[in-house]
Amino acid sequence: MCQEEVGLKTVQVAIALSAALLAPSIQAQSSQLQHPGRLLASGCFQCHGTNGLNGGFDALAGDSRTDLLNKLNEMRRKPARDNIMFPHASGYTSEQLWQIADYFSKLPKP
Amino acid sequence: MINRRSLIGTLGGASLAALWPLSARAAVGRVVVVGGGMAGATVAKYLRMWSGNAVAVTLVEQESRYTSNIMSNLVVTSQMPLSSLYFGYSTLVKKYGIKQLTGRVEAIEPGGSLGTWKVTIASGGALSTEYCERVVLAPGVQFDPVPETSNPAAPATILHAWHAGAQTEQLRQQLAAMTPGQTFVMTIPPKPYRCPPGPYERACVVADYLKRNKPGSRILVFDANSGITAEAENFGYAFDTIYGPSILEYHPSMRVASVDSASRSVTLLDASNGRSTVRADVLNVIPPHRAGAIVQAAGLANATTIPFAAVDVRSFESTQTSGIHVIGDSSKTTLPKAGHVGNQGGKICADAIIKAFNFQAPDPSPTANSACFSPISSTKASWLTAVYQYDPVSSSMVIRDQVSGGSAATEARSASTDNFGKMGTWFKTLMSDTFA
Repeated sequence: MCQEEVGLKTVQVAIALSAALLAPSIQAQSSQLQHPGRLLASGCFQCHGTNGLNGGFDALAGDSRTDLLNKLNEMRRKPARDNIMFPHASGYTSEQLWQIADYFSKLPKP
Repeated sequence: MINRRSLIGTLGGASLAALWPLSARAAVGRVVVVGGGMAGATVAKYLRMWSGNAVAVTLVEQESRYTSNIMSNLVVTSQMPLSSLYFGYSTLVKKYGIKQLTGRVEAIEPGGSLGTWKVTIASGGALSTEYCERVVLAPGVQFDPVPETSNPAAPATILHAWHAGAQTEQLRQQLAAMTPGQTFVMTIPPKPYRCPPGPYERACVVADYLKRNKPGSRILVFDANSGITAEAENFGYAFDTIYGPSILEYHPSMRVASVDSASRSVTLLDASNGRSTVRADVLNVIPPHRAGAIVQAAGLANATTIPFAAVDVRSFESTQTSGIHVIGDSSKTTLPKAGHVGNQGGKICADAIIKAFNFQAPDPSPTANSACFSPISSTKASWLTAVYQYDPVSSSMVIRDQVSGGSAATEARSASTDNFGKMGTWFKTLMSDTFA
């Protein structure tokens, strides 16, 4: 029943918005759509730009995962109040930092 | 009139497949977002971007553009023009294909066979209808009325300047028109209110302005809270030493009882309900907050007992009405009410809605970070930050530093010109992540 309902609604959407839906997908990094780090990494976008691009601070898109992780792990060892990035680095688990670094490493470099 | 039968009758399976682009077949749904502030604009953008445009998004906002609350204290002190706070919706429309309506939502009701929800919108003198599977409410806050001293049944005329726009400009003009020796009085509401460091930031930049431009003038700050609620060390240092009592006086545990609009005086109650009245040359009263009117009207929050909407913070879906999400300052969570966090809440909500359209559960352990820079003067700024992790035991977001085990937000060691420069970069990038 639930599936049928959604199916019917999608028919109406297709009619009403077919033109919009047929438009090419924007920034459709398809390999990234299901990446488990996407939502996590989006917390970096406010300062580093959407998808780690054109941020006023460091652009992260396309950086090597190892380099990013090394930088983040170094920040974890620094006094938190010295730099706004230090408490960020220590606020995530090691696994979360790996997912974030892996996500950015797989985005195309600007 | 289209109904289910006529739809099925006119479109067979084959023609349906031909009509849909590949990217849209996996998941299609419709979302109406009410409110185009930090949280609303972000959820609209990320619903489109992360679904590969498969989710149709209508953004309804009463104003034709957003006026940022972030940085608005520097407009009050004439350091930045009001126009630097304006952000339009044209990029969201053109780049992401969001349908934007400048108007007011009149009703949200079950949509019958045409959709889970029917949203009625008054726009340009006409009513229109949008059907959708999910509604996201992001109306921000509204302010509680403050009684008029001579007639407590009537609301006083308040200059809060806590919703950026016309009042920001009014407060700027009143501050600029002060003559040396005059007094600026501001009051801070009880928690939770929008932008925890914001009132202390305003007190500091106004004190700095008075120090430089209005010799002998003072700012008196009356706080309903028992002490500085955010960045206590940096603001406390600024209050006590950078400005000092000859320019800035800070009085905690003082609640507003009433305001005399005509004489610009405010009557306050101390912790033991002792009453005092203070006359101001400029009176800036920030009243207590509650969820935006649409949240109240939808029955998702009760103004007297629970002024904000309870949500499951993994999706920001209302715990009272499924299919309706409440994000940003109207939601009741452990996250601070602030633009940077509102942006992140929008992303958590967008991710959860896209997953729901794909018959998947929300991310079981989302995170959110809070970060903001606060000017302490016209050249120096501090910062405050925290990373929140979802805690399944309390079903809430908690700060848990993975290295120190700490559970409190971190503030800058001291205010600096370097941080003031970074504040500009943060603002520019945050607004771009939200509106562009």
